[in-house]
Amino acid sequence: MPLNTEQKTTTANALETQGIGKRFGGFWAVKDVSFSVKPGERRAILGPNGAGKTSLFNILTGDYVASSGAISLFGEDVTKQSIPKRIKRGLRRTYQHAYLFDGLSVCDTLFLAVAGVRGGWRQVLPVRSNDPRREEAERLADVCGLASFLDRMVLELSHGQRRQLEIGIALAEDPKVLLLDEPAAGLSPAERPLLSKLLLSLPADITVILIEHDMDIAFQTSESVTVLFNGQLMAEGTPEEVMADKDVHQIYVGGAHGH
Amino acid sequence: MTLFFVVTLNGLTLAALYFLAASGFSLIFGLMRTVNMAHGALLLFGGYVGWSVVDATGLWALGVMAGGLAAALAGALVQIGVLGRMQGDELRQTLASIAISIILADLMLWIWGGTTYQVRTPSWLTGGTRIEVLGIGYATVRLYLMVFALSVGVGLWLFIQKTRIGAVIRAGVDDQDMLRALGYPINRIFVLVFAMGGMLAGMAGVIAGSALSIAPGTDLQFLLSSLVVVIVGGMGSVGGAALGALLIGLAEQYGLAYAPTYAAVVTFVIMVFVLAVRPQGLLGRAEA
Amino acid sequence: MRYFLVLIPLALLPLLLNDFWVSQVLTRALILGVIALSLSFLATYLGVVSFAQVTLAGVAGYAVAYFGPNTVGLGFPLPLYVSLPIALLLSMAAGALIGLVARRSRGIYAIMITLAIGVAFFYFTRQNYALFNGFTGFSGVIAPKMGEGNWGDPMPLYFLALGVSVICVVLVNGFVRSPLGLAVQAVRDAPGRLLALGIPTTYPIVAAFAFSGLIAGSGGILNVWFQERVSSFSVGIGPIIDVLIISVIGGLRHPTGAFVGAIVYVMLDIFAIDLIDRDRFNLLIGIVLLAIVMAAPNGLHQLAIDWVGKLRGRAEQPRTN
Repeated sequence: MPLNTEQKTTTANALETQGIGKRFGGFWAVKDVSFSVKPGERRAILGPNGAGKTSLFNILTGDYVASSGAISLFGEDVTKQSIPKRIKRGLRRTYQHAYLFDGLSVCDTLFLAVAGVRGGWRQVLPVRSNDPRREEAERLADVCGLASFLDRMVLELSHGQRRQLEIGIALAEDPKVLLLDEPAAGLSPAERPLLSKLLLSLPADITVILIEHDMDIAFQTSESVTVLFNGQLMAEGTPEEVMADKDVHQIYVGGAHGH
Repeated sequence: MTLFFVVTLNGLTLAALYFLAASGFSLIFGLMRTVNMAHGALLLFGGYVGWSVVDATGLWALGVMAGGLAAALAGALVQIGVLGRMQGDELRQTLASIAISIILADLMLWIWGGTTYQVRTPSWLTGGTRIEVLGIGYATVRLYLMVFALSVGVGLWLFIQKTRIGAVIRAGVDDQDMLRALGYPINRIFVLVFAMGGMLAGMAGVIAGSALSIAPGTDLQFLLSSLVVVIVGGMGSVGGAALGALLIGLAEQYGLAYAPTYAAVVTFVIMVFVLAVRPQGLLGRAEA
Repeated sequence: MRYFLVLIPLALLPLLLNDFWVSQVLTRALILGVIALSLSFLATYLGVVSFAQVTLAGVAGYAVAYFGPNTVGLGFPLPLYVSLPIALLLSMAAGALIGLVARRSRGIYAIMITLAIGVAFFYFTRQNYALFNGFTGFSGVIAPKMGEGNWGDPMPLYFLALGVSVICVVLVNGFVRSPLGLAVQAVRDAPGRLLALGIPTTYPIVAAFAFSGLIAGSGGILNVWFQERVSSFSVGIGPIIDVLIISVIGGLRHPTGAFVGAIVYVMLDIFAIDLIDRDRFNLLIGIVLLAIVMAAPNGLHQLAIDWVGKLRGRAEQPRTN
């Protein structure tokens, strides 16, 4: 379903979906979800377990092929584009299970995220310490709060530090839309405020979409909220509006078993 | 045309032997993810024992049984003594089984020497049989070998599909941890399957010694054919071993007859092609 | 620099030893070490144990024999500055091809596939006479001239092998700190995550195998000059297993351990005759391999590190990049 070309000329949304869905056999993990996020917006996606939040992310990134609907990034239809193409357009994500290169150092991991791998014989030369890409990796380490762990092996990082590194990787190479999948999962109460701080300190022009179970973090860091339930969009609005929504109360406080 | 029929029958003979060797190898891998590099050595061991028994008693069937049992015992000992101690560490198991294979090969060279052995067959297996349909004669022992491989295949399939132990093995292929959690004596099942794999290999060794011949190097030949057969057919599946054996056995013989220089390459090309199209093998299931 | 602590004695050793020691022990160990280094490199940084490294060494060896002087009257003699690059390029191309075939296979699958490739090559060399001269292969493949003698004489070949070994170790250490080398290690740790970064995994895998082909090929060329011959036996299952054993003894996760493994292996080979019947060498080597796998799965190198660590009263980190 291609979008109208006129939309490109108007100030396009950073991300927009129209009726996207994903079907596994006869089961719709995500069904007919339409929502849009403005450039620079901070959006939280809430919903109980199994509501389809991560599936939604997988459709947005291209990990899943959408069974229905269309996705556009800054007005451009990306529904049929491959994962690397979407990455090139500035779409980044983190994973729920910190899945990293255990045998590399923090600096080398960020370097890979910054530099990628291209053709050419220079790719086999050792990286110099004054390489601009290396300096960029060090800057990212600073942004995600790992500046003093540059040479630490990823295997030796704490769970919270792995989360920070995930965000650092996602920030590499000019991200425009950041999809964060439960960045606070598994963090200790002491680590959570640090993560909130990191999220709040992200550059203002980056659009952030966040799946989070921790309501404090979600509401602190986001200006708008989308609630998913059984794969469908249930409520949308400011944190206050969503908090006041009867249906949302229903699914979180009682009666969820009925569905 | 006669050449074609003879070559086809040769290919089927080889396929039958490859299947007997590869089915045990594949069974062991399917259940416990162990690549038993000593499988060829077990086969040769069974063959030598079978030869010695037939030589001493003159009873061919006894030789086949003895070869199978000896290799089964050796296989069980390998699993209990070495491989079972590093369960889950596949690389170590592979390396350890290579070491065992080197040790066994050298011990067998010590005991049986470097000569080529042919197991004496009873009169009903000796000589040729005229196949009227094709208009050619063919060695009786080889025809029986094909029948034997076919019945082992069917028997193995029935065992895995229809018996209780078979059900446990099938469950183990899918989820070993679950089986362990349910309280099944998984280590004993492992030893049993290893013994079964050894049994199949040992009998294959005696039969290879009857239909063809055995000598130092036979172990390697059958280990490699087993590897290629299961890579092509798919790991852990009896049907895959049969299909792979058929493909490789026929391809080798056709290659030998019609393009002798490239016989080894034909096998290799099949393997590369299968890997490119279906990395898990023709009938294998994708690895998670 | 601790490297000089190793290098200076190695450079002085020939002054103390006779030709037999220099040639049959030291040079042989260095050559085997270089080939085993290519295996340990793949095992350490790509996480793949390849049984096809002897094959890659053989490709370069055969190329030098075919494009250089030999006594079988086959081939196309070319000047050294052409034949050597051709040999190394061929072994790199062969490595890339193997990487391409095995790119989706890991762990034991990769072992089986590379073993099958290695043995297929062995059979191919036996059956092909146009390029490989079949069963007998090439003999009289002498090293290039150098002044009065030639590079194949004990002393020059030792220093050549030492130089090549040093270069190969330096190359490995440089490669693993390059962008491509980092990607190779990332493939080892989490291939899916690398794809999610928009980096394809095939390229690093193929590059790692091609690089290992360069290392193995260098060892292969030295080996041909050392043996003055190359035949199907040079690429058979025997050498394949020998190189594997050397890497395992040295520690599959320690690239430079390959040289430790090589010297242990060569000493065993030479002095086993005093311990047991010469014909039972395989029995001995099998038992040694089994003992290492069971008792010191990370090789002698790691065992030594652990002991040093214990002596110092603290545990050392197993591996850094």
